[in-house]
Amino acid sequence: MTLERRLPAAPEAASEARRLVDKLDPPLPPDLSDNLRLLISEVVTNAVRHGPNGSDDRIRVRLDATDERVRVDVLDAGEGFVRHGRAGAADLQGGWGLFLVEQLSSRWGVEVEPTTHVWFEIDVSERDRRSADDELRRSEEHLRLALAAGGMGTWEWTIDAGVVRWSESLELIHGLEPGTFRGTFEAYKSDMHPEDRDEVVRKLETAVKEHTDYAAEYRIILPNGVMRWINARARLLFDRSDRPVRLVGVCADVTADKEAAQRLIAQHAVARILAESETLDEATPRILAAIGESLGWELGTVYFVDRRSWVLRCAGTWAAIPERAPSFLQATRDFAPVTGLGLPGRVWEERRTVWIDDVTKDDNFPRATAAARDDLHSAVAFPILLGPEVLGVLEFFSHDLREPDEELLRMMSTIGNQIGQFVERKRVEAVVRESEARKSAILQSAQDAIVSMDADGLVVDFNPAAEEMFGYREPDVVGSELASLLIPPADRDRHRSSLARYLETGQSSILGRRVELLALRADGQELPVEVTVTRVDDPGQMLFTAYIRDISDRRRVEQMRAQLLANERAARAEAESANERLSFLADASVALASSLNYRRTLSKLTKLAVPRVADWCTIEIVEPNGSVQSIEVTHSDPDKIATAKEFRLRYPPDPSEPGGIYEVIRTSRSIVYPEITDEMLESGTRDREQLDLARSLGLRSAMIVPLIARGRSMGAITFASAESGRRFGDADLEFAEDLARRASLAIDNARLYEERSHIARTLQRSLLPPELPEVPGIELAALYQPAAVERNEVGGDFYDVFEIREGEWAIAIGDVCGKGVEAAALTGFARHTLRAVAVHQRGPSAVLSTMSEAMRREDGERFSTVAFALLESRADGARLTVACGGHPLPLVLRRDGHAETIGVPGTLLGIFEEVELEDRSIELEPGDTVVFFTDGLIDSRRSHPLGERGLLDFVRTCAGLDAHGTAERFLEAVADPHSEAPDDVAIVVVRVRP
Amino acid sequence: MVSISGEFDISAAMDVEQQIRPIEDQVPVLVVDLRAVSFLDSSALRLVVELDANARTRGRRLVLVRGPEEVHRVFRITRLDHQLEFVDHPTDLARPTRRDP
Repeated sequence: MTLERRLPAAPEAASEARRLVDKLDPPLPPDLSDNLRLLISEVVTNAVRHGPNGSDDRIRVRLDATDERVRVDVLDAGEGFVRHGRAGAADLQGGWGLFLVEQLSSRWGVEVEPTTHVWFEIDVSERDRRSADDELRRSEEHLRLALAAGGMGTWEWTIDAGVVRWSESLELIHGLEPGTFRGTFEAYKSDMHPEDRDEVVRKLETAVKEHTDYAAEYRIILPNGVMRWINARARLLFDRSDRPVRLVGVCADVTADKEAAQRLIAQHAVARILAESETLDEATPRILAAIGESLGWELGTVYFVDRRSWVLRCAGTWAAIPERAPSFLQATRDFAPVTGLGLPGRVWEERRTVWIDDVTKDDNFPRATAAARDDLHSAVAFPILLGPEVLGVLEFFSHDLREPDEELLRMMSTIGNQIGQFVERKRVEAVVRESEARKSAILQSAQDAIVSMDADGLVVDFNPAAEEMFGYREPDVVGSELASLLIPPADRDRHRSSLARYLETGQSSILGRRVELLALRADGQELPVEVTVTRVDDPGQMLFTAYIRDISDRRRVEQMRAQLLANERAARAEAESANERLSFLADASVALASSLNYRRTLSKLTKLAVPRVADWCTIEIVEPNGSVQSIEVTHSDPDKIATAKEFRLRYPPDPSEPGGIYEVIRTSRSIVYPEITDEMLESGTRDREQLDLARSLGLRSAMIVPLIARGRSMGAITFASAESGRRFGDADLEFAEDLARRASLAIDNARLYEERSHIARTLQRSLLPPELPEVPGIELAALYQPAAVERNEVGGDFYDVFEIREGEWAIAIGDVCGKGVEAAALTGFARHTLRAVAVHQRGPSAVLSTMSEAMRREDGERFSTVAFALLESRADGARLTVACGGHPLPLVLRRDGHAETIGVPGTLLGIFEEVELEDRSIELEPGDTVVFFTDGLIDSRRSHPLGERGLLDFVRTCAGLDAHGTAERFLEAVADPHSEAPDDVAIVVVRVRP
Repeated sequence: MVSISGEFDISAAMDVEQQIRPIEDQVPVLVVDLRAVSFLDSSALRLVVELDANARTRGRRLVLVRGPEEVHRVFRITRLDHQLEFVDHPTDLARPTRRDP
């Protein structure tokens, strides 16, 4: 029966088209007619949305039903179902309409000439595409048997007769029923992969012609479409006249080994790409190519999550031969799935690697038609995971049929995690870089001359104030020896030997002190300066930084003073107070430069100011969140301090009131009250109580000076006089402002430094595994303590605990030598490499040996020490096998209190071509504990060093503690907040549950 | 709560959208009752998904009351039954059935 209508191109057309379905006679079964109604609605809706919809425009709908199928044709004058780059919501509708037609119809198509014509057909008697194929199942069974039997088969080729005989096992390897091999050379060739065929035939012919043995590796395609790798060898047999008569050979199925080797190559390639890349955009195309090429997948795609519209968007594709898959590449680029839709949507939703045997037969694969057209079948996809969050999805497709492989899936999950961690690392690195940029901005803007020098005595930093002071330009001095440029010839040797002595003994007569000396300008003039030198290290580099003040003025003032002393008393008093101020400034500058803990610094400052300069000194700082905090209040009488604090607490200054702290901070201008009268107190206080309290402070005169760094107000210092009766004047204000300038600089530097320490520690922490896995029957604890607070270097310690396969766990702990970002990157590489290698190598010493080689290739200048252990669960207890590469031996504490070390020291890793490593195993019983640690624990420079004997004694005191308790006990033993802890410490404790 | 009855296709979607837009942001939970819907196609899907995305980004919820089988089937085929929140009855609001992505 055929029904046809011409409907107006308006929304109502959809429901009119649906009514047509009801008119079919005989009516269709209900399921079919529901599908038909839905699809007709989709196709007509599509015509309404994308076609012309003027009042005269018509949509032609034709419904034709036979016994076999129902067909619908819809014609309009616009564009068809295929979207042409329309953005936004239109995409989604096009996406689902298309999807539904694809899913529910038996066939569909679009023609664009002369007008847009969309059609679909639904077969009335639908066969289930997935009904069991008995024959297929049986041959798969045979294949499994063959593999179980060792996967080797034999064959014989009688050359003249051209007859080939196969053993039963070889037939099974090729997926044939025993006895069905046709016995010809052609038949043998026909199973081979088309790309390998010519090469194999050439090798056979060469063997026969040149009387040599034959060896080849090639792929075959089984009857069910699956691909396998074969390794074949054969010998020639000769007759009495030395003519080759027969080739006798053996074939082995080496698919597993081949794939394992490919996986290792892929993983190393990915690890290298991540180490070399700056951004994820740079890395992903290379990763797609690396995985595709090494594992033989012909197409790779990557999607990232679009957070605004909450879909995945394709960010790139890779194809071994793009011409072989044009439709699929196009379909993929347009594909923007929501959660759960299609392969990427499924991976996104389920957060795990997904495998599809044949995408053309999958019921949730919208690109199936395009895949079929380009002959793509097997697919695997995995998420880029950062913790629980999916950042993106990678997919790979093959023209061949493949079988899912646990190892491959595991590898892909690992890579997904590696990429996620790479993203995290880059984020942290960006933060560090930004702070480095800010630091150099500080150097540029500081008003004091700042010159820094490395351990070789070469100039590293030279700020603009130094350029002016010495008359050199920065590019001309950086990298040259400081002594030969800035120090007069007579004093140079003394400078050099003093540096050498410091490097050797750690002793210096200059560090942390203010020293007066003569410096040399570029024009040869000598310049009296006052210098304060501190050691402020950059990552990976020892640096000495000098704050230099031109004191020729001061010298002159001193001379003037001597002059004036001979004159009048008033003049003398003036000179004295000027000198006093200058020397105070000098002391203050030393105090400011001596510590990078800015609170300690400011505290010293106020204690210096009182009572030399004022009776009261308070400092207020603007916190990062914008609030103003009082951080220091000083007076020579502690009781008065308490009163002042109470005053401030009960009557906090009003931000809107003029003349106080807030105004100074807001305007960046000082305010002086030469005399504080009682009237001022009265008008400034709210009630009698406040007035009395204010009076009791006895304030006579005050100055509030802003702290400014880089053009911004950071806070204010208030100087007030009380008991001394001083009155502050212009000279005092000038001096206070000078002091405030220096203090601001110190505070800003110190804050930056603290931030960097924090960043460095964050970087370090990001390299540690966030949580320990759950291991049945085993308690795990891990603790880490970075090197002391004053340092902002990143240590190279790491640890890791992960599952290798069911019932087998890996525990790793290590130390990459050196500090700083490069060492940190290598630490990350070490950890990831261990994870990758552990899955493939059996036995800890094999794992460490492979890892050492990988690290040697990566950065042969840095060595590492690692202790690596394999923990296998047993019925009651566990077996631990340990190998150490230059690392302190782990400690074992038995339940009965006996303690020993386990393992053999072994060679350092990452620098030698040959390493000596040995596995040692022990059986662990319930209640036994094993402690892994890094050498920060036993470092003799700590104030409580623990040697090996000390360690064994110490671990015995942990008897009866659980894993966490033991770890904490160890950490406490070496905790010493005041010592200069030179190295960081990591501890991992493993205990079999009692 | 918005109840939709009859056929939820392109025409109905346009009407529903006009009615819902003004009140969309005013309630923390928007309930759309599909129990009286007799037909539903991708025009409806598109609208519902957009409402759901808006709700998520603004910290609200969209809850759909499940319609008859021939209607819910369309959500199942397109896997949207996993992404959107469905309940059997409007009073079941306290117990969401959807997993967070």
